[in-house]
Amino acid sequence: MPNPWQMRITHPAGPPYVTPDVRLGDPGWQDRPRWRPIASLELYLPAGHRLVLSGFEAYNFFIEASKPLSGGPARTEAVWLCGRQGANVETWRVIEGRIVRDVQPWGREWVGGPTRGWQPGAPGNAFSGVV
Amino acid sequence: MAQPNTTFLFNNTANDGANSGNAAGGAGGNDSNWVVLDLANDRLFFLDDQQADGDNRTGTLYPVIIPPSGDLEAPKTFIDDYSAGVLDQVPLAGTTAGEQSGGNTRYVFAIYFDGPTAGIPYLEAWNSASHLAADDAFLGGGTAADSTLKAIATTNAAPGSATWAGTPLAGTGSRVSLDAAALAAAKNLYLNIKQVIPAGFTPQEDAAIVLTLRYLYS
Repeated sequence: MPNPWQMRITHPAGPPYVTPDVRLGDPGWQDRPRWRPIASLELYLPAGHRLVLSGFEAYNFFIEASKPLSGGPARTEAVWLCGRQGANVETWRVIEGRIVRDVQPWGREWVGGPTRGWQPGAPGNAFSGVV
Repeated sequence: MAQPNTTFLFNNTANDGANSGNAAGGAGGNDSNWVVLDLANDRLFFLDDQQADGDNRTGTLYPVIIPPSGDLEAPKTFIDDYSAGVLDQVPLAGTTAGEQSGGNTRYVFAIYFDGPTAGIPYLEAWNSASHLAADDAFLGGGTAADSTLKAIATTNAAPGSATWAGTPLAGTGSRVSLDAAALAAAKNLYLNIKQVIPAGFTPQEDAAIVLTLRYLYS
């Protein structure tokens, strides 16, 4: 089983892909085999739960980081999982101690603007939640 | 798309030219010169016109004088260059309402990304690096529109006006998008910034206010 802060990406066929700890420098979203559509994303959380998205038409994942000009390394502000269904995007934002779900129009999913890195899903009965 | 490295630079000349040296800075287009900010030690200062380029960083500082009426754009902008030991002027900062060479100028401050991003990068201002609050008096005292710090993105074009208004900076509620789209590759993003002090502003000093870059990667 993956460790907390690793994400398991499953496909309709074939083995899953497990990212490294997504909070580290390269979360690995771009490293997975891209020719296979995504069946589900499962982000493993520290308390033993999983944040699951499945059945969406497309998926995105990214880290929101900040870098103050007062120095120090960039800081992870949030981990985002997104699932697109039609004209809407379901967003799940994992912040320190909180998980926030939201629905935004496609192309306006982060701060009212679009994001890059979308990958095709294997559409089915869309589900998202913490299990 | 690993986490991109970012480098903050400023143009310490009155020549409006691009940062061709990317993360290294140095001589740029049109005889501009780009200096890499030491984020741990350098600071951004908005000061009165009595301050001169090259003044010793430990010498007398001349703060902006609150105007008796109306608003006053900080006359001069400097980087407190810790390693050089001087106040290094940023002549193109601000507008023609200041007393430098600012105005409809494009290449003033730069943030160089060495790789792509998953979203549009933003510039924000906060009370401190903890990013918990943005209600300092300099940031509008809880009313973002009243923030004294006003910035404008010039990544894709000059402001279009020598007296550009800019966007007041205060937390995530009022911030500046530094480009029109997520970055597809390494790129310099450009901005200009000014401080505008209104009459009636309470005299104060706050060294904890921080500008912050927010971005996405995957």
